[in-house]
Amino acid sequence: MEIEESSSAKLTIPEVVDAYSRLAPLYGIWETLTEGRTGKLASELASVRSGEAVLEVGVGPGIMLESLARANSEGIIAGIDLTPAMLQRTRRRFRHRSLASPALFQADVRFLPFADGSFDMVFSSYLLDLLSIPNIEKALQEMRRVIRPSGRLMLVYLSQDKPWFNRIWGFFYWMVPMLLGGCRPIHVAAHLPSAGFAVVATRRITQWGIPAELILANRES
Amino acid sequence: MGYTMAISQELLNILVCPLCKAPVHLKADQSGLKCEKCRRVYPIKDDIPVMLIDEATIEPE
Repeated sequence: MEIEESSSAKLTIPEVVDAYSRLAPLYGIWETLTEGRTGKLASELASVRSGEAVLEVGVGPGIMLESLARANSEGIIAGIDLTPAMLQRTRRRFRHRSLASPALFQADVRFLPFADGSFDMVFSSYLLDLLSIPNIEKALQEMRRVIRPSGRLMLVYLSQDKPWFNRIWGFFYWMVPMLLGGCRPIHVAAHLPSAGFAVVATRRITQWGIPAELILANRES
Repeated sequence: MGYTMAISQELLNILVCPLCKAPVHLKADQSGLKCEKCRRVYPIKDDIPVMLIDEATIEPE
């Protein structure tokens, strides 16, 4: 039951919105448990400088966006998500911490509502794992479009590095994709060169048994 | 809280229609963002712009 690269995503876009609307109240706890250290490593790797224009695609409950905002108090912080419940949670998170409101939009990564070259960096964690291969390619193409020449792309996703994990996750993904938020391990690096990105750094990390891969890439002009 | 408080001019400058990528502007009544090319209006719900093609309405002019 190993997940093949060619396997299509099991959830359709409306199902993803539905699943994440249901998961929204719990997702913050899950994310803190499983993604905290991963997020810290991602922040270090992305090394956001204050004054930059940064976009997070798929903000979820806003944990990573908060970390990006704290590193970038002088710049632009924008975030999109398909799920209104997640955007509301992100907004509340910033309010409760008395942080300046980020610019939030309900939007689809395949059709980003931003002009070409708008951002110094685009960040995305555990989003590509949800998409079919053609949609991953479309997402990378759109992310490239909104990044300025030689700007950065930072990706975090479930790694295919651990075959045992692929088998266990694959079983549950096959049984109840919604329980896992529709994510499955994927191999993203292979798609980057053809999408116009050069990989700068790759890191692997396992936290609470969940293997993640982090990739920092530069947009080639 | 008015929407204008949540979005800066700086951001409006980089916002475009997700379909045709032409600039959008905030409607006078602040109910949505309108594409200057295809006339799609993206609604603003709970102070969050819904920049989804399927959720947009097309205004006659």
